Amino acid sequence: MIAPLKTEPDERSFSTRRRLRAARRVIATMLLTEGADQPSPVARWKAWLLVAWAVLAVAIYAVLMSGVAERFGIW
Amino acid sequence: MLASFLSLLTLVTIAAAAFGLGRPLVRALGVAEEDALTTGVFSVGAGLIAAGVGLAALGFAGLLYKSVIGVLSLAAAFYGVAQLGQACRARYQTAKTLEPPGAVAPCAPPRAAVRQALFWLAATAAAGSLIAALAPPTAGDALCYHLELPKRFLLEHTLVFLPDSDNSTFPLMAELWYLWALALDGPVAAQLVHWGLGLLLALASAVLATPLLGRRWAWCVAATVLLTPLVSNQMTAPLNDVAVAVMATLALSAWWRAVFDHETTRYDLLAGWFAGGALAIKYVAMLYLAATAVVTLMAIARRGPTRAVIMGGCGAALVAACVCGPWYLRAAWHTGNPVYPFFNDVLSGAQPTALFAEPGTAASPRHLPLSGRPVLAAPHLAVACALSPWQITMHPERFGGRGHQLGILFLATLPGLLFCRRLRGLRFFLSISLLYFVAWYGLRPNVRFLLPILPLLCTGVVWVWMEWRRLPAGPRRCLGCLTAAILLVGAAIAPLRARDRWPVALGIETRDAYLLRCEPSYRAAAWANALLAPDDCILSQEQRGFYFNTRLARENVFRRRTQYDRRLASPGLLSQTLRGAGFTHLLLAEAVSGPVHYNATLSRLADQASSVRPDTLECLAECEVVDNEGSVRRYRLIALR
Repeated sequence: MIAPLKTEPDERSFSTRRRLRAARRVIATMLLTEGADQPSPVARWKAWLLVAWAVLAVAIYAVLMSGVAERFGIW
Repeated sequence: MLASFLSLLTLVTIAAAAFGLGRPLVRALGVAEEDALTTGVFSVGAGLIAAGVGLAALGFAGLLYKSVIGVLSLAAAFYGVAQLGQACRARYQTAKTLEPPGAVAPCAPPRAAVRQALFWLAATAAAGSLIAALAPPTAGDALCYHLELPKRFLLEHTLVFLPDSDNSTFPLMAELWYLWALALDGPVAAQLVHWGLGLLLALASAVLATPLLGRRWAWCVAATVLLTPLVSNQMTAPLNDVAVAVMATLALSAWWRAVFDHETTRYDLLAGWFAGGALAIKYVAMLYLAATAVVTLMAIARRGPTRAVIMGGCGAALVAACVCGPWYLRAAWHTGNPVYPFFNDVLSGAQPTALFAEPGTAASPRHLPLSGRPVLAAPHLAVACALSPWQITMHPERFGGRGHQLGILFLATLPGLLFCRRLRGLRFFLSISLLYFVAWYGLRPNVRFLLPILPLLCTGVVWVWMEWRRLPAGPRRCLGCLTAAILLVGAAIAPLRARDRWPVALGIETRDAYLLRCEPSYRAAAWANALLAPDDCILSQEQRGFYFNTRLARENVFRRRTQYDRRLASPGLLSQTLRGAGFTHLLLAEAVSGPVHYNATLSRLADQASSVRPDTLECLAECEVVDNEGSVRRYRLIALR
């Protein structure tokens, strides 16, 4: 017998789908190696570059918003 | 104090009624049952749209009476409370928690101390906004139309078309929610509705971010939304930007669950319901939904199958059209252009309408018209767009004012995404943000209009925080301290901004006294309300018409519509001409000092008419008003004889 073509969307209930996904996650966790959830660290220079950018942006923003730049005609 | 309490009670009633209207809808669709937060947020959002549709139906039928609205509201609120009790009992019995079962965080949840700190900072910002929202409204746009139009609709009991108001044919669902609050209490309750929508935006952001980040980190997204200066400022005034952001966020949340989580196809319909709500609030929703459609098509083109998604999208579009359609049909009926006044030259063949044609006018935002302006060449637009995040952060006054600003958090943090790993769904969110941002920059670069993508940007910010664990200890501590300082300032802004509103919020100062001190048009309105009959009609240079009981037409719109100043054969005929147009009085407004500017056409004509035919104009009252920013305005109320 030829199986009928499936035209309707999956009728499985909402909770069944959630349980299926949760089960897949559990199996995936079992198959993953020890320490696989420990991501590689970011290079030190990249991290400091990010800090430098954030500090620079915050400093300029603080100067502009506090009115210091306007008072001294810096910007 | 009692007045503030009653306004808060009105907000609670409206929230309960919205839940009562939305809960059966969400239950009938069989969606959003996984956890209390998702159920509650989707229900209240869906109920608000249902209420907006119902109020619009009452308006089209000419049934906008306080008694009708009051009875229906109380019935819906009691039903909502019963629904809430039933839901709480069911959750207690099945021991469901706030944590959705399928939401798994990509890394360990944040430490309890971090969560608590963020909660208290967000609570501080929300409390500061609440104090400000408990003072009577004084925001320019609110008094010009967000509250003025619903007040007029309520007085006329119908959704009347006002030819001398550019905004009366806009999509006005948020304004109908304000009408709801005006009918139950007054303008402060209407303002509190927008404050409540700010809270709903934060919760909707948590619902949106949960499938990507897990619920614990999604709460950090919610806190970040509330700590954005733009949001805490918007929550203090009855505008419509937060309202459209709420509906756009809920639409995307439902759409994500329909398309990528494959939970149930009926999420498509819910997404359409919210998309229709967003389109019925503000035109910018079109940009957001178009960006979402484009990014979805790009995503499913890679992954397939596309047919189910396209069918779902068609269903959602149909529902959205049913929700927002009446507003666009109404605009087309009255003006010949469904999106009036945008693209007026293309769609109705009329002259290009320079939106709010008088830049710098006391209450007119300095928006650019959508059509008829020079368009930047693509390379220039790309360069300008790339530089604009810096510009809108450092110079927000060029993009709508310092009050409406994103703050430094996004510019300082989001470049960290370059060092982050890929997160399922984040590219989808950021692609929508990027497309919307480019369209926003090309069309209407006002920071307020970025609110719909704020939850998406906050999701990116929180993912960067989550990835900090990959940084070496030194940089991580530096970034942690810097971010804590930014958030601390973000939390302090709202209470500091509300420092002069404590007395009125707590009832120490009366609302009348507060308005006389802070709102210049209130004194002129007090004269007019005392001296004029309800059926009189004022032609006014002051656009803030909410506190006037009589009908008030904006002089700049009337002049643009009729060219009365050019058709006047002699200044002596001014009174006769304006009386022929139905006006009984003039309200002349002039800026004596400060940055305020009024177009002087009517003042000049009135002065000339007074010198030629002094018997035709009678000055009933005149005074100078100093507002709380130090600007001095002179008002004259003149009777046409």
